Amino acid sequence: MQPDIARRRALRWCFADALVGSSSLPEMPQQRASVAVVTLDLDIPAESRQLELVIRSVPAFAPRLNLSFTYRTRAVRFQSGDVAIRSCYFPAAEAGGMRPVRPPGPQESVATEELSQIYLGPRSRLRYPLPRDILRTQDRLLLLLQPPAPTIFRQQRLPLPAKPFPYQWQGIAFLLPRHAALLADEMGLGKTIQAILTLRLLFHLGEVQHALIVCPKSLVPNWARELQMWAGEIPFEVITGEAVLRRHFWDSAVPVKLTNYETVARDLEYLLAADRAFDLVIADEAQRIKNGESKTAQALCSIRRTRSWALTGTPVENSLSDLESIFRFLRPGTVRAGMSLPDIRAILQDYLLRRTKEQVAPDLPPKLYRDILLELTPQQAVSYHRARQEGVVWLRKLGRQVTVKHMLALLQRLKQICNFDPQTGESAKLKQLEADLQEVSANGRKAIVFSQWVETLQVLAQTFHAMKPVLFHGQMSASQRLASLRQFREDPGCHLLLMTYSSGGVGLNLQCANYVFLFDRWWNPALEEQAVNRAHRLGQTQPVVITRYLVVDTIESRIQEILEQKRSLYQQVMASGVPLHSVGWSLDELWQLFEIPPPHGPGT
Amino acid sequence: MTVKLEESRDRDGAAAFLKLAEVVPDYVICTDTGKGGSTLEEAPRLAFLTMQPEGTAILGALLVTNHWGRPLEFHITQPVQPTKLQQILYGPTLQTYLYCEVLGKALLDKADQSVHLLMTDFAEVLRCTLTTACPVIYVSSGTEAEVEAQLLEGQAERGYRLYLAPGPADSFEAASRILRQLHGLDLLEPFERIREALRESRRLGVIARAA
Repeated sequence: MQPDIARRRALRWCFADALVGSSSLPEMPQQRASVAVVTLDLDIPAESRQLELVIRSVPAFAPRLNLSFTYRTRAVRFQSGDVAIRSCYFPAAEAGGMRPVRPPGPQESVATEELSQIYLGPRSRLRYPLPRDILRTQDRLLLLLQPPAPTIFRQQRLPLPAKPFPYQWQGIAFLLPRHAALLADEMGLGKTIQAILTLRLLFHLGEVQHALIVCPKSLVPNWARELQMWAGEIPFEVITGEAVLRRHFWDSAVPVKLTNYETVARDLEYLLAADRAFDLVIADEAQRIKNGESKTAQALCSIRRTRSWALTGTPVENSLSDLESIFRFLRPGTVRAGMSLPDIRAILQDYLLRRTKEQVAPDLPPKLYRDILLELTPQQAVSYHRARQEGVVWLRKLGRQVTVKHMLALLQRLKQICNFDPQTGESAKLKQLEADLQEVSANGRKAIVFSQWVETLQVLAQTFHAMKPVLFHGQMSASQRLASLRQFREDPGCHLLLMTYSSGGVGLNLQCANYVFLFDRWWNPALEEQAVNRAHRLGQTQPVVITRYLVVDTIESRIQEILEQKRSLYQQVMASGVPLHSVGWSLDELWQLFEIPPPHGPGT
Repeated sequence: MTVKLEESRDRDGAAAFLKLAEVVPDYVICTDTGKGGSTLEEAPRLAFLTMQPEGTAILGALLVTNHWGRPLEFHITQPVQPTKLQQILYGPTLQTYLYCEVLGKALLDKADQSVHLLMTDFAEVLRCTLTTACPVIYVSSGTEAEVEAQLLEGQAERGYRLYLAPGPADSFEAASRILRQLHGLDLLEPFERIREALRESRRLGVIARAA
């Protein structure tokens, strides 16, 4: 066999992070990468065919494998990646002896018997109709004839930390053949897990070798943890830090790169200049690209890629244009402005998979909503009415010059007074929250409190210091936020997590909490829903009580009315496809919040 | 991954074949001998043979897979309508004749790769031992009262039982050994895949509708 053939046929991936720990290995060419391309003086079987077969067979069939052959020494290139190799034995007489390829991790303790029971649900759940854009007969048949995902996991001896639910296997069957897919399961159903397991399968099937996962910054640690848990053998690298370091990461041979939207936008020029291409790009919380004109959306769409998957629980946050933008990433031109609803529905059938908790997990404990109506304290009321009066006068003075920005400034001011009186710090909500949290703490439960403002959370942190509260907001560094989450999850004395909507709204798994408090209300019902679903997810064993504080006869109750309208509209769109033009906040709607007519007449 | 699709016709033109072959490298199983060495064995290839009524005609389909169920070859015949003469000649054994000697034999002959175990979900195909040297196993979903074959094992949780067709003395041992190497592979599931592929083939017009 020629050396080049040996290189081509050799195992494509290997755990270089583990290899680093082996003193018998040759020099690593890329010392700084957690995984690097290394060249090993490997002993090759005399028969070339056996070389290929043996190396390919190692991950699949040999949890305790010994190989012995007649060898010739050749250089074989190992690249990052791949499979559940626990250890690999080379002839002791040659350099190296036994070389640990990957140290056994806790998840590798899954017994064979357990693996054989990965899936025992109906076989029909393991299939999903093929996308129509696969046209060639042989391609379609070949896909249909592939074994279902649980079979591949079991037969390849790929360990799983837990058994995925039948609907998650179906989600994998949906993603697996699709080059463009929108997984829009309701929050908490495990979109991340489904995407990771499918990515893992595609790696093992040799379909994907370079993947990019893009998610909001706050979710990067979460993705890293899930990747480690569900695809521990696939090396990944978080792209972060200074520009030089980021370039190094982009250039590394690590097969999975994990980064946030901002980094993609920042490094786009370099990415495009380097002519880099990915086999798969996953956009998590894809509502982040709902504005197709944004730099982030355009950057993501520019990346050269073969497969594009979008994950979001809220593909339609404000209007159908959100969907159009997501499809600009998935498959440009598929969903266009002005398309008829039946056409859009037909397209969605092929590209979109959405399940609700009610559909797939009827056993999930319920969400119990408590709307607590409060009245302003006397001092708050004085401050509120003064601010409102002055504000309305100010807006009227502005007349036709008034903009959304002006309106929002006043709204924010009034909402803040609903939280705390600016002069005295009095707060009707705080009094109520004290009483509620006392009960939570007494029962040994944990609670999450959401607010729009960091300042509000800081006041709450001081007030409830006895509950060992931890903060989680955008002004904290990623490591600080990670530490907060860890403490909240692991410290039994820590009962309270204080989060902003914008940083804690998406993707975090906080099933340890049974109580969610919305100290103030967000503008968008979908984002509120995401916040609530941090706690109400699969894995939750207790009912989740969501308490929404609302100060009556204030701007909050008006916002609540409009939010309810929006929520109803969203449900109609997702459930029955009723068309809508916009559920965003218009200028007229903002005027309505103050219960005064717009100065310019309606509809402008 | 290379895929080739070809259409051919058998000698007497009774059945046309659609062949789908995925070029997948052969595997070897390396078993730990417990003595610090290893043994290399050719990984078993499995064949799943099923029949599909098409009106009054029958078509056959054969999926050859590696030992963990990945497709290596797929062959289907066009629907075959038994002639009047065949109906008279074979009488009550007509089905067995069609399944084994017409469709089964033709499909197995078309397979490029030799198979080590033939699985079927039709009890009549147990007679295919006359046309193939490998052990034949009937994967029964358990509705029939009695099968003239040796019960190998049952997989209650999977909802099927395995019956080995009468054959050479060593066929039981050979079949058992291969089944052990499959590590609990669901043996009924590939038939679902075949049926789905047949539906797709029909939808795409690959299979002609029987008159």
